[in-house]
Amino acid sequence: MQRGVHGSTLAAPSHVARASRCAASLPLTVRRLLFPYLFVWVLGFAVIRIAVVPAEVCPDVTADEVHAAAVASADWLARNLDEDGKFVYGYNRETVEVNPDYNIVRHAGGTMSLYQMVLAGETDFLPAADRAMGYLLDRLVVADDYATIADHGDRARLGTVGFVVSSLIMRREATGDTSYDELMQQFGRFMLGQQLPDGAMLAFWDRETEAPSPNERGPFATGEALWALFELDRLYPEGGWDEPALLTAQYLARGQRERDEGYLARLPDHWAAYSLEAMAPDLRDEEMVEYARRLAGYFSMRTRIEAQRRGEGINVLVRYYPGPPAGVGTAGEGMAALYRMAAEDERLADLRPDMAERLECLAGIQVKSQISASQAAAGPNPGLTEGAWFYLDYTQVDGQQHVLSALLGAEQAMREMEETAE
Amino acid sequence: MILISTENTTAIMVFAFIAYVAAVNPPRLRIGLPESHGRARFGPLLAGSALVFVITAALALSAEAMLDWFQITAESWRMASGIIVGLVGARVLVAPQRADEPVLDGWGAALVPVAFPLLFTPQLAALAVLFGGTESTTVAVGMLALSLAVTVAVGMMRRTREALWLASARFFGALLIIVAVLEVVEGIRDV
Repeated sequence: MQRGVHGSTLAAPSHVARASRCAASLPLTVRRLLFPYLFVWVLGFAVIRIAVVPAEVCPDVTADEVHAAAVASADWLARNLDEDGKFVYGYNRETVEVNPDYNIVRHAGGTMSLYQMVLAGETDFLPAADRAMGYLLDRLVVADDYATIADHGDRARLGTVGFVVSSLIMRREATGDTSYDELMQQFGRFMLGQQLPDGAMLAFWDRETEAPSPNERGPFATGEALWALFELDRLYPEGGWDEPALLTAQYLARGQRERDEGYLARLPDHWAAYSLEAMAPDLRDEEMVEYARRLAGYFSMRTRIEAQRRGEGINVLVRYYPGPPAGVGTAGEGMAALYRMAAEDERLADLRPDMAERLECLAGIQVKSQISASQAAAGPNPGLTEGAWFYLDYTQVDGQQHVLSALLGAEQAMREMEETAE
Repeated sequence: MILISTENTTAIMVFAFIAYVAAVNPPRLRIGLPESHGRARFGPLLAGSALVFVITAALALSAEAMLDWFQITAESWRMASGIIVGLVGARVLVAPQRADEPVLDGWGAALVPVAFPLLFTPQLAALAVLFGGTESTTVAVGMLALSLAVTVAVGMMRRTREALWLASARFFGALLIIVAVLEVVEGIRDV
């Protein structure tokens, strides 16, 4: 109603007069009212469609294609590993330059993904994985009853050690070789030495003082170490790894890490997802299940946004370019870990179909954006491009690592869904 | 998001009812209705509400197919609908009274202004698609019917204290913002 009418309850002079006029001329009312509204509706719909919910496009792929993409990615890692077991860290196809930098945590992550391939049955990658592991073990530091990895006199990084332990456990499962058992437990004791009373973990260890660097945290180091601790607990249930691991798991689940490290939002921590998967079922209380649900939500949203990215036209303005493969991959591998966890935990069973759908979608996107052999052959240095994913013409070892892990998880989910459908 | 994510059907129904009522905003509709004799108002109000019910229920019932066609997951639409209803809620808070617009007389009032632009609004359409795409027909359509019934009842009330009606309209705007926040957060947490 119509300002000027509301003020007086029954006397509605302007309103009645207007109503009478309009009743006499319906087309005019239609023009004056409906057309502007229609314009606003159409404009609003267009804005919502373009800016808020662009089409989520998930290319169709088969489980075999997903597996082949994972193998091609592992091939990139194996091919770009030198005699010392060091990966090519990064490559820019625009400038045709290899990035001379290096990061030992990412090296350890790449190594871990090669062992994931071995564990998935691709045993041809074992020599490459072992060579990459050799690069890490060449930097072994043993002190008292614990051991760590420190690169070129640098401080030891908690995440590196976490990956080494998880990798060696995968290697043990794949090969049955128990020769690293004692070393793995020494690494485990190192990680416990980094733990604070509230469950937080310090990210660095100083070689000179042979002690943790105080007050230095890392956003993902805690999850990387936690995963390894739960893997140790799985391997040695009587080893006493469960209590400290649970303490750190609670530290993460309660959001204390984000408060301590100054993050406004909860971190979508894929390593925490791996940790929850590795956690013994009797330790998984409702708090852990709720944390798993929360993480699954983050990974899902990341995947949905990725599916909305076209990388061209007006879509670039609202969604930017398709995300860095490492970032997209983490969402996939985190979701895959939770998918496997949900297979054992009835409390998460309701999420499995949606998780599988997101994994399949992400796999489709990544398979279609991977550099094929023919695309690689058309440019310089095909060995540095084939099987890789590029973000703004740059690829890096962790891009291959994270997507590879995500693809392996997606493949499993797709095969299980196919079986269920049959 | 205890309320939305719960498996408790009653809680979901209550939430859907509150969301629909906040979207329709009965006091705002009442302010926007021509001030006429009770019986004269009842017919157009009922007819307009029935028309909106049919259109909106059709949207809700075809929501899944529609979202599929547009390649939008229900989880993403939950966030989008949260944004839509949040913007409308903010606007209602600022301006609880609609602008002066032409209306039709007699039964024509069922069409303009009752059905359009008062009842059939972007926020109502967005919520109908959301509940139609994610909840049961009982929730999506049943709660819509109930909220429109409440709206008809409020529409028949006498408007004596203008300030009270405006405050009520603002209250429903604020409620819409709460619904929006819940939907966006739930959209982030949905898998």
